[in-house]
Amino acid sequence: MNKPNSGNITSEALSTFADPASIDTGAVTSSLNELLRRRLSQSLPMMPVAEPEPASQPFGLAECLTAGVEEMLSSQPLNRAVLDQKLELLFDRLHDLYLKADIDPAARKRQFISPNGLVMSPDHCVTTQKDSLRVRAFIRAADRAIAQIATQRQRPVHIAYPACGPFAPLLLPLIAYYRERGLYDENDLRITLIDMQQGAVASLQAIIHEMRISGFIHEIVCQDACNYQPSMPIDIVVLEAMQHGFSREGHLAMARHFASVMQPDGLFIPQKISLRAVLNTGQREFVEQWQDNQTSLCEANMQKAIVSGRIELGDILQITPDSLRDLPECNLDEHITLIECGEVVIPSLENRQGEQLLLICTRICVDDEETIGEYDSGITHPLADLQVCINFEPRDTKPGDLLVKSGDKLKFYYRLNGLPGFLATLADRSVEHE
Amino acid sequence: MSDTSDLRNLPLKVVVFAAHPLAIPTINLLMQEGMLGGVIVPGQPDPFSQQLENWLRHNRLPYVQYDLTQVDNIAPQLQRWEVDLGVGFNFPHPLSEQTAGKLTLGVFQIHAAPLPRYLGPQPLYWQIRNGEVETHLTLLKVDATGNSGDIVMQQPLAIDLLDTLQSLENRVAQQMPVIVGQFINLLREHQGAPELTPLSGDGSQAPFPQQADLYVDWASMSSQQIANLARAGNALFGGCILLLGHTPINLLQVTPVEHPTYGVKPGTICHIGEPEGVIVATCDGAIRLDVLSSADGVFDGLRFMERFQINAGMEFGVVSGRY
Repeated sequence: MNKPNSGNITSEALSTFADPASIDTGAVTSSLNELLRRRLSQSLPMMPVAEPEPASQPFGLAECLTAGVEEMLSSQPLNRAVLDQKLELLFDRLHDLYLKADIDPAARKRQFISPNGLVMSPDHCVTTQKDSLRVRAFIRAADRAIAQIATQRQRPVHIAYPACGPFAPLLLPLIAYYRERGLYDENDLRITLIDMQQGAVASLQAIIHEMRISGFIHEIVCQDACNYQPSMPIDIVVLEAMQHGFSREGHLAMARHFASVMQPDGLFIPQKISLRAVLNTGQREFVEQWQDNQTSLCEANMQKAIVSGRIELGDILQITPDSLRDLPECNLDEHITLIECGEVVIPSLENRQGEQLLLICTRICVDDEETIGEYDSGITHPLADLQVCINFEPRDTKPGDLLVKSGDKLKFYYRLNGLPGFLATLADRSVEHE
Repeated sequence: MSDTSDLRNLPLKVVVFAAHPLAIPTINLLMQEGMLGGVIVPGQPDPFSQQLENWLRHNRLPYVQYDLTQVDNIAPQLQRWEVDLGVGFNFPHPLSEQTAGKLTLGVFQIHAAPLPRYLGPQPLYWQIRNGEVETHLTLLKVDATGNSGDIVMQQPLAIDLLDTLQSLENRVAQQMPVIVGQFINLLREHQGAPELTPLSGDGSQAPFPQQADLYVDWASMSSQQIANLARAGNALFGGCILLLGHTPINLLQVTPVEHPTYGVKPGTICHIGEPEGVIVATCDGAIRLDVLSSADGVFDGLRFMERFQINAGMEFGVVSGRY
């Protein structure tokens, strides 16, 4: 076997870098590795090599980021298994960094209710990176938004990402990919990351350093995002702070705030969140629909028979940047505001077997092309409102139970307080029973 | 039987009717003074009286069980002991006339409560639970049927904000010999006929708490009431009980705190983290859960939440059937 000519860096390779002071060492390494590989391939015979198991491939963070984002941005049809695998690898790398980042354990575990919603602990937030359909939709939408806005601005595009968590998973991988591929640089994009948790901020600092994207970061702010005042115009907002049923976290409050401070022609990601009320039995919706299904939970795998067996009551709330600026509200006290939402009527249920549950169903239109449908993510699983009892009396009544029957009209409010969520009330009984 | 012509010079023998270890320091005092005739314990033991009985047996003190089916069997025993005076501590059974008649100086009961309030077997539990800052050791003369009679002596005893049922019972038990000693002196001074004060005022009961009494009612209980509930049950009743889903959790120590709750429902966990601890919203503010226990052991609030993966935003519930 010929000995490879390793170790000698040719002047040809070095001459491509005119100013040593401007050398990006990452780019140098990549280019030199490419040169070396070409040299090696010329001097070595091809040896059959068994394809390694994906789990054993020793990818570093940069490789995992690139592979993951490329998979997400690919124009090829979605291959869920491959995407899951790549995001799992990316998560493993990020999680290693997170654990080694010397973050105060108390800061990692802290979780609390804030004026605008639940703030989860950084430890609990890290797994968002693995929620593949959610992350993919946001990354693709962000990529398109950046491309669109970049053509309209004569200055860096400023992206704000409130409640971003310890990994900022819906944006940072994309930025790292841009840096790796040289698609955008610090003169094109500036990012503001905002999170209330000191542990999340410490994690972000470590990850940004490791991703080598510090130049893209305008600032990392540790505060309540609803109090944030931008020091430069915001062109794009990336926000996702909700649990299923659009509940518990402060998405709406933050979205309202950023809709009011961002550029009027800016882009909000997600573009629209649609909430509607549906009836179904819990058994059919949550058990029978999935018990024979060997594939993952997602909208595409919902059983048509179960879906057609639902009773659609109607839309109760749509969140868009425009609607956010004009929500009808009523202040109950210093901590509780109610947003007036839609009304629905409970139809006749004579031919229905089993107790019908009121479900709050969520669809997120991230942009014109990306949608997170029901069951695509944990945040779009239907949420059952167990306090609304339709055509029956519960065996053990609890405070807050709402007993309704066919013909009743339900009026929904969205409660803005430390634990936001929908509140169903009984509107006037003015509808004829069908 | 002794001549009571000059009680100050005559030896006295006392029979103690007791169903609770609270009586032990008093029994010790009487024994040391050579005044103990014997002890009568309930015929149907419960955990408290069983504890007392074990102690009596261990210390080889004379005692008999009170047989409800043969109540007159006690009278001969009292005669054998040559007792003149009966003193009761939480004794649940009335005496027969024949039995009471053997005690020339009468039968008296000590009750750790400002009678007629908190009459019953668990007066200290309910006083702590109701947030009382003071109790009274009340000594009253009872009639043969065991009905409360008139007050002979009453001594205040402060209930500290940090007192648990256990710590308060211990302090009461230590104070009882003092009041019994003072009472015997008073009896001698007044030749067996001390001045009596009739019971007056509205009465209340202090029954043995049932499990339903131990649950925290988030809708109606204030922060201080929940803290008192935990103290009152600490440790005999496991403090008080929280319900998470269908799982009961014992709460042994609670501290009312100033903490914003932002309009969430009472019973909602508002904060988990250092240095604040575990904070839960109440109907008038917030409390910190200091010490909890389950079948897996006793934990501080933070460790309990971490160990059982309980998170902020979760709600402690109410017991079904209470509404």
